[in-house]
Amino acid sequence: MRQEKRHKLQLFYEILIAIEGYMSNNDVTAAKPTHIQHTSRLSYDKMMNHFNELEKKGMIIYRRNNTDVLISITNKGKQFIKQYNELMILIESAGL
Amino acid sequence: MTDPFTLLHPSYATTATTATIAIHHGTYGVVTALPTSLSLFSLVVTVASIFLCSVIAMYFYRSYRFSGFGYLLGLPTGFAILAASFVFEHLSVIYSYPYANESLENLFFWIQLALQSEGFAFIALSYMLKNRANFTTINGLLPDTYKVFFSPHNWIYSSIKIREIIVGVLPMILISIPLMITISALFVQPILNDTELKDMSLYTTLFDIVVLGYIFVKCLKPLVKVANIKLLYIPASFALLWLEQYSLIINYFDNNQFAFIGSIIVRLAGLGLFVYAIYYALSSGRSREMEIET
Repeated sequence: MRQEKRHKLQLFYEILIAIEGYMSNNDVTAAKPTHIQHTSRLSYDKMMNHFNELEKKGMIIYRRNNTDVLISITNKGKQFIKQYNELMILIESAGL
Repeated sequence: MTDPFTLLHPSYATTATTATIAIHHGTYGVVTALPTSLSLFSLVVTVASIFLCSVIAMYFYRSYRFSGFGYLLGLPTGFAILAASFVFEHLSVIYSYPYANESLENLFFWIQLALQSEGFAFIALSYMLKNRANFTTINGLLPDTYKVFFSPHNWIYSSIKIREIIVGVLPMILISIPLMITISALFVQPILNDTELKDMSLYTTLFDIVVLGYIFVKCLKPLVKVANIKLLYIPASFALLWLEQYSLIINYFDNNQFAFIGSIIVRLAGLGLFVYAIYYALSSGRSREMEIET
């Protein structure tokens, strides 16, 4: 089935939610890219581009440990999730 | 006897110009305490209306700043313009008492009518553009309109229909109608008088009724699909604003005091309900987040 085109803001939100969800469910401080890719339904290249952008904006911390890549969410990232949720609620309630 | 509600809004009165002048004379000569209470009442209503409009505008402007979705900008702009119109409404009431300032009263009333319609038009613009292109900015739509008009290829060979041209130009028409009506009134009669304003107030109120009806339908449709009755506060508030305009029409033809008082109450209720809807939506969203966290 063809997936609806997602806005960049929505993609950021889904990536950050995936990181936060993984961290809280597994009680760890960072998430693996494969899990994020699976949850956010993005191609690897696109996901890496978004990681770069999110890192530049200070919403995630991208770390390399030998062979592993680990990503954790910052407070700014958590704040983004909260604001995005509020935005969606507001838009939905106004029928926009 | 002087009708206090006609004094508050002389241009909505159904009486002729001479009668309105007589009312002004009556106010100037006889009544001293009544205008103070009425101007105080007008001040309270105005401050409350401006406060409620500002809250709505602020929340939606923050949403726009956060998301950058161009179509969201229409709503805060509309409510900000609406708030400005209430300032001029109050000024027109203040200047309606001393008869010598009738020209100022008419000018302020003219500005109020223009701004109010423009405000509603901007709000409608948000609803008009929401489905146009998913999350594109208003500026992002302009090239399509440009293409439709100026590319000969499109005129001759493509499947772009007249409907698309109309849809592309409709937002611009919507925004320019209130200005066209109000400015054309100046061309017809450069010196504003009561009769002229009365006619213009009828046209702008009819325009507001149509625009608010459109907003109501556009706002209601997606919420009915979600089938959550608690989300219907905002359409209800638009319905109340529609009712305000409808009451003003009744007041225009019938000079009905209750219709005029009702229009003020209904306006405040509508704006208040809108603010409550925002507060309710955000607080329920936060409590939902807390439930998920725990």
